[in-house]
Amino acid sequence: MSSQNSPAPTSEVGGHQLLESMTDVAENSLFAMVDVAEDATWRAAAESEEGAMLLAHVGFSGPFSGAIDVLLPAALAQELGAAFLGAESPEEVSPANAADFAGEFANMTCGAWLTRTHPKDAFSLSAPQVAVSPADEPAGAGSTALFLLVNDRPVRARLSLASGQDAR
Amino acid sequence: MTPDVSAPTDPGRHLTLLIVDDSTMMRAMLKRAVLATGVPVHDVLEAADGSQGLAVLQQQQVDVLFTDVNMPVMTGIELLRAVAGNARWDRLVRVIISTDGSEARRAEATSLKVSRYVEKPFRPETMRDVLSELSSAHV
Repeated sequence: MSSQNSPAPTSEVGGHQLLESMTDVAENSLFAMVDVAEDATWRAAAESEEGAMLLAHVGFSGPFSGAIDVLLPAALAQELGAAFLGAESPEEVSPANAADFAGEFANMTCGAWLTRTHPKDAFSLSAPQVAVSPADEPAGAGSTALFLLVNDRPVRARLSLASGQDAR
Repeated sequence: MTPDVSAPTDPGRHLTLLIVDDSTMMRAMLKRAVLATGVPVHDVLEAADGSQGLAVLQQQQVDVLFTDVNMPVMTGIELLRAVAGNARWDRLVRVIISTDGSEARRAEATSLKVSRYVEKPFRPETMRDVLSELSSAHV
């Protein structure tokens, strides 16, 4: 049952489990490949994206609180959305539904991460918020960011814990 | 979790399903998945939050409710509490589909007579298994 004393994971543990969670979501639900990218590789991939980037944000609260956000190309959201639906081509997914899917991707990643890190505790998740964002949107101080390639396209996953909850 | 084995449907009757989720893509994916199961389905209704879902339940006969947990306006847990508090819906089969797989949430679901708890992400085949099991148990 819920314990108000459950500690937040450290950045290192939290980041590792975030990678596992996102890989689980991408591989099991979306049949996508996830690779960790070197800085330069990720930057080059981001610079080669011609379309918009989407930033999907999901906040959570419970024994500890914070947020997970996922930055990804809108075209990748469309491609993954099509895989999610079992659609024959990405064109079957409208831009609005691609944005909706980007939010659901962040939501599933956040839920998988919380279940992995704190399997006994219930958390409340906020409704996903999705906005167009520059690819070089700063990761932010105090957060843990993963730079990934999903189906060879740049994705950044970021974990931010509320102030003072990642200081152990 | 032990399924609720009360019989909500007449033999041979096709099921009416209600999917409550704030994501249009999740609702679309679930609808595709349930229609692909081969389980006889009369209609698949949709709602974007618990409040809309409750309104649908008040207006239509539904056999199986699939609901997310975290939604704006009214959460899935609040919806399930409303359902549990009204004898009219005693025979409604309740399924949670959520990213929250915690023990605390599962225990809460059990207390609200939820038959199955499906964790997101899931493969479409999972829905076939859930509906087949519910269908054979209830029809």
